[in-house]
Amino acid sequence: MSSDQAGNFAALLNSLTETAMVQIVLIVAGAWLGIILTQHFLPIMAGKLSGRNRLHLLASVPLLRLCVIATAILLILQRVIEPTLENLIGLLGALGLAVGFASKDYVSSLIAGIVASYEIPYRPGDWIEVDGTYGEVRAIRLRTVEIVTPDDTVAYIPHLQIWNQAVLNANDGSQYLLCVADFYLHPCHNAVSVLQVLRDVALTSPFLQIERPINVIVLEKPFATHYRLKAYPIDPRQQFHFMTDLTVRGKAALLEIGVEFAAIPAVANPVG
Amino acid sequence: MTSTPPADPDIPSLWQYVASADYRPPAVTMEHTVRTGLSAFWQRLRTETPAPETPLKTEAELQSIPDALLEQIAPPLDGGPAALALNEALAAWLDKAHPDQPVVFVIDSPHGIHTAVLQAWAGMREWRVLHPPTANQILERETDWIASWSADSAPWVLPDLERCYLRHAHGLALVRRLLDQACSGALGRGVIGCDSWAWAFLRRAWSGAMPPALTLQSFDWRRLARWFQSLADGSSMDHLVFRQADNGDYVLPPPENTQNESSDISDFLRQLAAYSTGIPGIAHMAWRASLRTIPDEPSADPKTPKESTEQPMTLWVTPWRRLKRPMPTTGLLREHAFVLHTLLLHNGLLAEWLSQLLPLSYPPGLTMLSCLETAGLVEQQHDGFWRVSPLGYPVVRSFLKSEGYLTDDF
Repeated sequence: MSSDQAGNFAALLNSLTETAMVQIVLIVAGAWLGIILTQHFLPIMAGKLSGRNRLHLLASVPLLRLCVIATAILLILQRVIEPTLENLIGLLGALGLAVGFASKDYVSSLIAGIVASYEIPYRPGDWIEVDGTYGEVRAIRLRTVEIVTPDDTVAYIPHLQIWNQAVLNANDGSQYLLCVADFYLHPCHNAVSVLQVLRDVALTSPFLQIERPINVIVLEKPFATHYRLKAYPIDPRQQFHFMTDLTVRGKAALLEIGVEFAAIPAVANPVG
Repeated sequence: MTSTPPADPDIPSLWQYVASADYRPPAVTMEHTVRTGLSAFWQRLRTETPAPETPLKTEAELQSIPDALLEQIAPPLDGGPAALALNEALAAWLDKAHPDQPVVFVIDSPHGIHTAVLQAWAGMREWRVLHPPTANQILERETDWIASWSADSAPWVLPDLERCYLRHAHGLALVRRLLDQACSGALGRGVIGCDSWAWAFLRRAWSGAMPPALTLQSFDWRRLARWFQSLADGSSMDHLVFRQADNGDYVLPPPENTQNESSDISDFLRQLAAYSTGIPGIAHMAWRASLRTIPDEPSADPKTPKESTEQPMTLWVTPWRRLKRPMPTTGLLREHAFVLHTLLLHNGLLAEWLSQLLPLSYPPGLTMLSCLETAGLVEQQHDGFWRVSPLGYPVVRSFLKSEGYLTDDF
């Protein structure tokens, strides 16, 4: 930053009146209050809703926050500087200097958070996996995305992960999340009967979203025939209950038709 | 294949069977939509059970109608008139010696009367009535049940297809075989009745092409007025007048010679038609629940012959907003959604079978059923089957639909 630019910036700040300062404080406080309200009350209201309505309301939280921040910045800029080209260049130069000294990762996460608001790799209510951590997105904050794992542990993942990590989104904003139950059967069996039984196991599950397709994939492995029963639950939050239900009832139904499950023979660990 | 229209084309038949695609639910009033929407929104936001409604002052002056009188002016549903309408609807099919479709399906909503109608119709046509298989026969996939009656070539009626399957991994094979054989003509000519929820599930569980089905046309408020009036006219009481308890408006059109300061027509039947979605069984139950009379009124004696009653007898109808209906919280519905959905898919179940069709993590069936019974959402019938209650059905259906569960088409 040259001495002229620094002088201009100081002149800008010196021109601030007390009234403008009070207005800026009020704008910051109002924006902060608006963000708090949207982050707290909208998820509570969404919890009372179901299906797509819940997801839509949750997804609106980060967008509303972005709107509040953008509006606050615009209102503050109007009070700090005359909106001329010279003033804007001066201000941006000062901001660039500040960013250079500040934490690179922190600012990177903030920028990634803004990018995530319009690229939407995840929304509240989505089930995502980032760097091995899987869970439901509970909130998208300025710097982090907050997810709750199936073990009811809250994980805070910085937005900057989206720059160089794959984000796996299981339902991508919809209420349809594919679940898979695996069965390993002894190779000697009637595969047609097994296919029919597994389809009926899924079809008769109380958790099933019946409007979505049911698929059974069969893979022959060296030690077993691998069946993958794929179906969708009514609510993504029921995915683990659904997979448990498919597995338990699937095993019972298969045993009832006389199918034998595969068992890998135990091999003693070599000593030494 | 629909019932023939009446002589006056402007007045549809009271009981009318139409193709399922031609089913039209009654128009919903704006007031009903707004009231229902606001109520549902409020129910979602609140968590505790709502306080009971406070009765009107006039309610203290009224009492429920004596059972004997109620049986006369709103008797239980009779399948006979609808069976005549069904016979008209099936006339063209019956006339053909070799129809394109060997079987005809008759679909009805919960608390409809398809079983009674088909039994009455079978008696009228002297067709044999088939009894459904037992639960054990269904789960063991015995084909003996089909073989036990299919050797006879006489036409048949199966009034309740929903009793031929269970939503269980082994509960679908029998009904699939039945539908395969029936629709291919291997079982001869027959009529199959089915509950609309079971029909919706079986359409997805059976891979065959479902033939067109008939269904009872919905009852809008005009049709309800004609029906309730005809029921009242059939009683031994003469000059009955039905008026709304809070403002005196006429719920059914008054007799022509009746003079009264108020001649407005109540919107009770419009609200009732919208709430019941035109299902006659539900509207009938709500109608019976709404009727009141003044205690010790001399002319309320049902044993009084028609000739001796000269003055009109007034029966009071509870205002729609005061009629007690189940108002469950969203939490209660969400907690027991599987129970309610399973009951609807089977048009009622015994408690011991219900437990076997629910997820393993669920508590015993009777515990949940008692909770739902207290909330007015389910009821146990004389045959031991638990069903969603008539007045609870609209609430339950609306909730299940909003949650993404499979619902019927009506």
